[in-house]
Amino acid sequence: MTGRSAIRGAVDHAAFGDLVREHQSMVFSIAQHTLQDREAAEEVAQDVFLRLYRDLDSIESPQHMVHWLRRVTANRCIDAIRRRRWRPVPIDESFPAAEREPEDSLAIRTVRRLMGQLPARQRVVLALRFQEELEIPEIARTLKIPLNTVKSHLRRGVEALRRGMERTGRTES
Amino acid sequence: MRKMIVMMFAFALFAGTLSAQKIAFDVDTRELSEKAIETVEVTLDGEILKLASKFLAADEQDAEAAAMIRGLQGIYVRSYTFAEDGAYDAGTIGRFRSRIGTGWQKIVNVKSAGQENVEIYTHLKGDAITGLVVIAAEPRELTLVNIVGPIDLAKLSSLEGQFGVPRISASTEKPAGKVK
Amino acid sequence: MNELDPIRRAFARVEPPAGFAARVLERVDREEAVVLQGRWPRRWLRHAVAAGLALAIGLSALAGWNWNRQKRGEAAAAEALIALRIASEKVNLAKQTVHERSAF
Repeated sequence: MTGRSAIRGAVDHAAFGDLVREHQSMVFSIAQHTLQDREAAEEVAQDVFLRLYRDLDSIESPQHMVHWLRRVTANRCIDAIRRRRWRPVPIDESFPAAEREPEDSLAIRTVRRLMGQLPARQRVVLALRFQEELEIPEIARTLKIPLNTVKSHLRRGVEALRRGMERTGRTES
Repeated sequence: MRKMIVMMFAFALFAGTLSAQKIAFDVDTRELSEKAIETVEVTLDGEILKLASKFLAADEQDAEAAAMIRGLQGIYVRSYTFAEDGAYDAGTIGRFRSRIGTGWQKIVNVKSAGQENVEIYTHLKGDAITGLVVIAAEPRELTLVNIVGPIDLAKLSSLEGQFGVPRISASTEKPAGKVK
Repeated sequence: MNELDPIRRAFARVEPPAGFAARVLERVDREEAVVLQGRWPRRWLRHAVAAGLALAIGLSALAGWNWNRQKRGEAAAAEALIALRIASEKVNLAKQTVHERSAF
């Protein structure tokens, strides 16, 4: 094959496996929290890494790789939400018992369930903010959307989650 | 021949009645979708709606939705989310509302300053609802819904809980937290 | 307690199902195998492949029509669900607002 960069040429099969293992939690979690569907999240996550393998030429550094993974995962999730049937998986199937926190409160489960009601972009913004703890400018750079749009998605998303928790009377006191 | 003329007249009357229940969306929506950061536009009628009904009926999980769609002549939704308050022209709502002709009755009109304004209209034949229009205007989201055909509002309301998300409908208890 | 705490905890990272990396590598291998086999064969073989393709296209036209109908039906069903969900949500929004007001 032609056109391999030094990075791609240096990344053999085993090394790529290490890359996947290093970043799989981040990628899968963004997909899982956004899609609320374990099967769909794995499909997206696999696609993202497959695409990474193809596009390794374009990766300039480890930091760039993380940024790239977040961006591509977010975009794939948005596409997936728009394409798929509108049926969030029941929360118990989405987060199997083994992966729930020992004291998985009703509020947490409610938040996860409510995520399924939000528009696609709000979900990814919330995931990048609360899972990846990105600052707003970084979210804007990742998703290539204006700063104010990020703020709007974040504000509306948090408001919707908070309102939903209040309405179902499941806020923790 | 006479029978045929009578049938054609009856058909024209029937078709005219149905078309009165369909509200034209098209003007303004292009401008809305260009400004919106998120757009949902659904147009289902004729054969494609029948196809949808058939496919939904094949899945047990969607049985209630399938039952609801069976017998409908059209489902039209336009929903736009914007990045900022006031990004859409409020006149759009007035122009859409002006297309809701005679035969429609406004059954719900909820207004909250700075929050959602929701209007629900029904088209009745006797006691049965034969058409539904919903206009939901929020500072950053505008949603227009038109359903043509027999629709049960109670069943439509209960569908929300069928999509794997908690219902947000009224409870008999005073809600916790602040009232907006 | 910070009201955002439940939201933060809800977004804790989770691991993918066991064997995820292995499955990714399998897909990488499969894709590489397809690419390697994609080299165009000699001229005589190319004609045979073209003839075979023409036959396959003809036979699959009928299957293709069914497949298209399947896809159109699925897409239409998905859109119908979205539309009903939105309609249901807005109807309930009105109901909820009316209820909240009448409670005070």
